[in-house]
Amino acid sequence: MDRFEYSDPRLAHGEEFLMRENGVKLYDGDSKTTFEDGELVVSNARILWGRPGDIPRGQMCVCLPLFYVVLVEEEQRTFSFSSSRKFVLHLSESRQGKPQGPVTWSQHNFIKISFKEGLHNDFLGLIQNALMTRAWERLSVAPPSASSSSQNVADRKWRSGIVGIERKIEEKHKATDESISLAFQDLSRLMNMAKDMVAISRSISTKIRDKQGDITEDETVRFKSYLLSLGIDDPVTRGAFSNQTEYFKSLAKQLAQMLEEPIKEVGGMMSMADVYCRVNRARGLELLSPEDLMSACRLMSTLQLGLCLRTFDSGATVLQLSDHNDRIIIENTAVALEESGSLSATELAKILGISVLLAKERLLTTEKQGRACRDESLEGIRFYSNLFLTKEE
Amino acid sequence: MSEIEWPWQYSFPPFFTIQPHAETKARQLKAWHTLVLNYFKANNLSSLDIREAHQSSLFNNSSIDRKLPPEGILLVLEDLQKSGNATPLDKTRNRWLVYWHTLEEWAAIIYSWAQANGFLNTVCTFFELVSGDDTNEQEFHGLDEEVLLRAIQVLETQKKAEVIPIDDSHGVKFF
Amino acid sequence: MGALFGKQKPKSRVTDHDRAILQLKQQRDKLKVYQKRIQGTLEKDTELARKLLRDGKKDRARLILRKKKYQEQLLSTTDNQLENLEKLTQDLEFAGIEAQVINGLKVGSEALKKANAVFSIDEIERIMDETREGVEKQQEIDEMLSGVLSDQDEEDVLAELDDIIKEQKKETEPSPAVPDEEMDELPDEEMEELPDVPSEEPQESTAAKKERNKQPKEKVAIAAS
Repeated sequence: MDRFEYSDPRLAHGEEFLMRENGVKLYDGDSKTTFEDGELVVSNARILWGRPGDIPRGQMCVCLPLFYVVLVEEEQRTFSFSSSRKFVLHLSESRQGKPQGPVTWSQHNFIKISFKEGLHNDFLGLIQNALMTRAWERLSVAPPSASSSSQNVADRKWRSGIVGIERKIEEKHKATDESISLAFQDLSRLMNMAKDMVAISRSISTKIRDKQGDITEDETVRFKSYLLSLGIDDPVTRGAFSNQTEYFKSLAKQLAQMLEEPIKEVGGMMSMADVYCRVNRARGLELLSPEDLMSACRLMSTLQLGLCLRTFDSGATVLQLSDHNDRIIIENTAVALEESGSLSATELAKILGISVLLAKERLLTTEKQGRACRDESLEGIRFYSNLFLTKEE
Repeated sequence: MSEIEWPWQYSFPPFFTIQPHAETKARQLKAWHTLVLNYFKANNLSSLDIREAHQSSLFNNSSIDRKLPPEGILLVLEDLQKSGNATPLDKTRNRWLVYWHTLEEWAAIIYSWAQANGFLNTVCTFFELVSGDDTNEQEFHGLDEEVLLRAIQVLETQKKAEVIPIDDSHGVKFF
Repeated sequence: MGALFGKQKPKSRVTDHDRAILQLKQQRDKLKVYQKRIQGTLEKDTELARKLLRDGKKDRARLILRKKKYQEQLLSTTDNQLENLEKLTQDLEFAGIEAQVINGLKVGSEALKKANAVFSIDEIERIMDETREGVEKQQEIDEMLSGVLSDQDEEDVLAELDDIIKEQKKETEPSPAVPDEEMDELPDEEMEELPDVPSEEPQESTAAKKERNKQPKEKVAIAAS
């Protein structure tokens, strides 16, 4: 009985009316139901039962799609004193997603229909015919049963080819969207957790700062390096502007003190690469990042620490003594050129005991002043005294 | 190829590298300017192809193993062009005509000779001017006909001469 | 004039007269070029003749010399003609001398053609050749030259030929005739052994030369007959 559905009695396009009877009673299996004394309408696709007058008026009734019917037989009367004929309709499994019906579940796999007021039509024959012709397959009442599915599916595909593909794509998109939002859910969860960690570390650092005085910077530095090793970006210097410059200021002071002697030793100028290496070698554990080093060095000239940053035309950046005088350097280089006739950067570096990079810068500066001229060849660049300008024509 | 007396710069390696310093470069180009014109005059040359320039010792001093690179040669030629001593012969600027007198100077020299020797209002072939017996002592004897043509064309603009094409060469009438 | 019409080309101040003279001058120029070339080969021709004579090909040597003579003559004649014409054109009205000018031009170009024909060095080398081709070429040139050179010219040619022969005899004679004396000239002491020589030691070399000079003269006398 659970195969029945509530339905609109109006015949669908292509659905044919077969017969009508009144005084029909429905049995769920062998048990009586409340559906008695109603009107039965049979079409080539459905069996409709409704309260008297409902069906003609087009009102809701219950319907049993014919595809559920596996077998129809007349029940043998034991006693022939009643004029009602009973038919047994054996039914197939209830299909999934079936529209709601009067009965949600029934233990029986068959129903009985009794015609109390007599049967004027060949009910059996008509039903059997209808079962044979299977008209519902051509109508929209078709079930997704396995046997007829291939034909149906083919129909469906043929009918909605492009639309079907589009739908598939849409579904794919939806699926991707869902999975992405799922993934992001995790990330946002992670970010939330990180926020907590950041809050914790901030509170700790403020606590440390409050506790102690000058040594704070160092400790903060250490703490920051721990956080860095944890993979969390330095939270202390972010946002708090004053903190940042203070850090760099004291760092600059420290570096200047440390580097003054070595820079003097190598002739008043040291390339940033050299500075970086020496500083970090000296520090041992609390290494400086290149960015921090640069930021600190940039402050040095304003702080009047005796050193300043200088960038050459070629792009090389050095740290040099504030009282470094280009003119003297140029003079010395020019003299060196005169003495040896010509020099390459490597040769000058050897003579002066400075790095090749710095020697090259010296030569280039001298050339810029017009005291040297260059000779480019396969062997490299050599510099000569600028005879073009000095020699009398 | 007669060897001229090379200037001191010719043995100075930096001479073969175009200098970045502005003042130095100016002096360098000036020296090249003089050297090229002297060389061309001494060897009676009139044209130059940058792509083959390294075959001559002018831009290639093998004793110090230095060559002026093509960009440098072009720079030198452009400098000569500015002073009126050179002109490119094609759009690619690979072939150039070089003359140690500017075209105006040549025009004046030729015209004054024509005037002094009674050639005004007469015609002469180009051949006569550069290879003729009458002009043996003249500076323009042996001058390249391409250069001569351009010099005469200068005179043309000054209405002092007219070029007459004949066969595969030219003649000129002086006025 | 030009100012009125801007882009219009100014009227040419070159007359047809001028153009005619220019053409004549051009021809003269070409002739001059040929002259120079021929002068350059004069030496070669003479050398060729010498070589032929050494090989005993007297006829061929004479041919070369005749050819040389012919060319020189041709060019100088033509040159004169053109020079005259040039002068004429400058003095007289153009129309009157038009015919002469055209003629002059004709003469000039013909002379050039002829000079060209005989001028080819390859041909000269073929004269040196013993093969049939060489002989044919020789005959061809012979025909071309016959009747062109005057008698005086022919005599001049012969004289030149003789001069060359003489020269050669001077060089070639000593070696086959006096081998002994040549060998003995080297050691100084042995000069006294020579029959005709006044043996004075310091004058050895000149004495030897004198001896050599004596003998060829006699022989020339024989050859001439």
